[in-house]
Amino acid sequence: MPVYAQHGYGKTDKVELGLQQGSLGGVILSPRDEKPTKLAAFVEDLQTAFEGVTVLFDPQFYASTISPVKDGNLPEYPYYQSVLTRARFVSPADLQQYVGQTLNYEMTLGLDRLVSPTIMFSDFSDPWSQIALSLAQQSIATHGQLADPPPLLLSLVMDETALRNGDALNEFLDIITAWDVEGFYIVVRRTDRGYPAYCEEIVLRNQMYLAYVLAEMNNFEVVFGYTDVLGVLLHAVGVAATGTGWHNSLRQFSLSRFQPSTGGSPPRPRYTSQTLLNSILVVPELAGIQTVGQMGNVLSGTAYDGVMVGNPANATWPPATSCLHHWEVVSDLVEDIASYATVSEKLDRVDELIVQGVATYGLLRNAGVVFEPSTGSRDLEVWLRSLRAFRQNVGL
Amino acid sequence: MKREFSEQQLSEVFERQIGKRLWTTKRPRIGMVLREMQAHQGQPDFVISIKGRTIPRGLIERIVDGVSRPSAARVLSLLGVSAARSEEYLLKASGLSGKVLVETLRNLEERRLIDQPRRGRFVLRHEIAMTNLEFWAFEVKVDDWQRALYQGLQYRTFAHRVSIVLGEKWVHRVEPHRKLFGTFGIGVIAVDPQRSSLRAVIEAKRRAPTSRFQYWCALARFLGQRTGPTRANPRVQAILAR
Amino acid sequence: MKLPLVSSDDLKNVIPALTTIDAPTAGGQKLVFRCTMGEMCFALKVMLAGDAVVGGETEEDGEDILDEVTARAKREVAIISACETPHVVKAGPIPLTAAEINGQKTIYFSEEWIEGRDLSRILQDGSLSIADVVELGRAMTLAIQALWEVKKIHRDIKPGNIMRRDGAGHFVLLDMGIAFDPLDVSLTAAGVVIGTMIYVSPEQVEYAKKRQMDFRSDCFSLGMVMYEAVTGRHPFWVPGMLSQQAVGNILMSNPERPRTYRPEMPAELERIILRLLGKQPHLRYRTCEDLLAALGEVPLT
Repeated sequence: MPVYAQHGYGKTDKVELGLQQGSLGGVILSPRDEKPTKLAAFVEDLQTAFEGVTVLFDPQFYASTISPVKDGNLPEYPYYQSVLTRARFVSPADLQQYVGQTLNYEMTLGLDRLVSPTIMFSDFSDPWSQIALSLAQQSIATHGQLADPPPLLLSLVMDETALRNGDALNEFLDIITAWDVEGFYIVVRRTDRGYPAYCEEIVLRNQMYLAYVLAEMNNFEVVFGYTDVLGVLLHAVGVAATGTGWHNSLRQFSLSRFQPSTGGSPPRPRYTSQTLLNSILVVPELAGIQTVGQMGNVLSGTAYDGVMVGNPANATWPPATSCLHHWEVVSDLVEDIASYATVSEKLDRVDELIVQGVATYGLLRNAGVVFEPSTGSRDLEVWLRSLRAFRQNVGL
Repeated sequence: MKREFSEQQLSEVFERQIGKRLWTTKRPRIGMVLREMQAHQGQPDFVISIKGRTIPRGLIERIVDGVSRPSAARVLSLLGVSAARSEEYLLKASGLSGKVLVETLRNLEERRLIDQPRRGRFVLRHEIAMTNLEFWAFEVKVDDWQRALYQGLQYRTFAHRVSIVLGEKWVHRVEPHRKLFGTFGIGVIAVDPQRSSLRAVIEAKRRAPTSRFQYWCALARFLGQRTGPTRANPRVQAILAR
Repeated sequence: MKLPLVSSDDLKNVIPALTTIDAPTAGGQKLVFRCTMGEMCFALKVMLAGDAVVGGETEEDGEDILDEVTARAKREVAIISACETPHVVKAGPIPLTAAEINGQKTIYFSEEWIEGRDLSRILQDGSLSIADVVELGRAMTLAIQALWEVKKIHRDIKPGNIMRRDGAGHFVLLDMGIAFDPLDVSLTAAGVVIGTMIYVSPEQVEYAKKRQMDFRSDCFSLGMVMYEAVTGRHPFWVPGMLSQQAVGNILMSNPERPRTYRPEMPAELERIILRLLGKQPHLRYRTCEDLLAALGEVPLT
């Protein structure tokens, strides 16, 4: 199952339950949120208990360039260095050291893949993107010298604004597709800190293009982290796996994950609706849907739906249940898409799902249900335009 | 249409007029009024309690102290007066971790909000169950009735009645949607700042709060006069209606 | 660049071991002599060396300064010596040598002699069969792969640089390392001298700006050659068009689908050719193995 748990703070036993219920195929570990000894033990426990589980480790080296930074347990890892300036990425010897220490540490964990260290960049032409490329190339070289290593995934962490520039993306793709490597682990940093984050049409279109070129055209193994339900579009164009987690901050990536908290209220309970392709608020949205008698159009049919059928406002919907339900919905959608043979057919199916979602929103609005902009059909309309523009661009 | 009045101005008129009860055909006996009470979800511009049974001060203190955390509200929402619930049931139904549940049960018992008639089985104390304070929540907007309705729907979780308050000049916009308000039971009040008047346009329907958990949270906050973002917020005040 | 004034007799004087030396043919910047030495038959290529000193002055670090022609020839010989595939022309028995002939500074080296015709002449008789186009693609991919293994890009893949051996019918890539030959003639049926600009890849055109090129550039050129071989038409040029216009089309326009001109060709082959003609390298095949695998899937019946 190509949906991975995006690990973060407060994992309890959610990952194990998700694997048991068959919604997850793996986990992307976050060293920021787990001490080294506990993380190593967790890896071993998972591999013992679940045959075929894929365990990836995101070294989160990119946190080293953030200031001020909230890097949690990262300083306890031997490869991590906090607050590195650009000057510390000039010397090839330094790059070699960062890469060597990171990959050597990962080798001790017995993982299925190694994930290279990287730094975040905002633009394909800014100096940080060149450093990211240098780190990637150094990772390929270092990986080649390791004794019997698992395959290497090159990590790329980019601001979504980078994806506005199609020409720069093309040049970047020309470079990275020439590399002899197993694949990529990609994270796109969202600008909008709301949840779900608004994504511009051109950004999503180019993100799909990035995924399609790497995964489908060039046969790289591509894993996208922090994708939430949007991962369904990426699966349609060939990515191997996507990651999503239990907090909003584990479903879409923003810098706030590594920055000191400015406070705020706890997140409101959400229900992931397969039809709406969105995680709507239990109160007042799902409750409103129940009031107007439209639950049948919205419930996802998971094992957890039962508590919502009567009175969603009064349902016990703790974060763990919400997460397990969310994973089940996403994996059901991904499985649906995977049942189609070609990319074109998969995209037809996604198009169909989105149109259905938009229609359902219309039905609900006509019935009087009010949604917040982020949980309404705004995103689906962007997805649809992006998908169709992408198809036209690549001739699918 | 250019806005002539701000939300603040509408709120002030409403606040001055609230005791006259011209905004409803009912004649509620108003207990306490809070501005911008911090509910578990959202922050209604006004919440009033409808006078019912008097709550002894000691009980108020125990509720405010004991239900300061959502976990306590969660447990209370699962308990009744007669049928005792087991700890196992509470663990499964509450979604709380074992450690948090044990601690919460202990705190609630210490504050005499729950009883343990048999070992490992819990009930709500009778005096707590009788604390059925009724709430009426209000959301004030100049003209954005949809946003007001959206927020008002959140307050349905703890309030028995919910009304939105709009400027008189724009209240006509809700006319085509009367049925919608009827479905949700949300009332509409029009405020005219020029004349300092207000009137009921659509009567709010009385319904049981949709979430017992949210109700317990709101009860504790209301009794503790938990308002605003901070207690020191000068915009926020508790008004005791005459 | 002038051709050297060298006759067969001149060569016999310089290389007495040569048994036979046929009259030369002109090939771009060089004279090509078909020669034998004992039982070996090979092509001897003779060029004028540049004005700079050949193998004389030394830089401060001890390296020789070579003129461009000699440097290019040296590179060419090194490449064909390193490539291990029957689809790249082999080095001959005579190594790269500098000599003064008739008062001219010249350099010469040898390559295997290939009995056959070059593809541009073959295509004058009409397009190739589907099987031959696939074989052409396979052979040239192996050649590109062999070059890339020694970190080289041919940069001048075109029908005129591809020979087909008589008999076995293998396609062989010639003229390594020559970027652009302004005297080369392509599609002479139109009587218009075009030059090899019409076979460049988009990244060759934009190299000064992007400085990014790898074997996929050769794949683009191969795509153009295969298109021409299967349709009888160049994908981006028509007779009478200026080379700059052709280059503009290479950069900006998509060609007509090959099946427009050859409806019976397999869809798989059309897909391969169109993918090779992807404007960006990342749209073409990631590895030569992938391209070979795709060619292997083309039905030939």
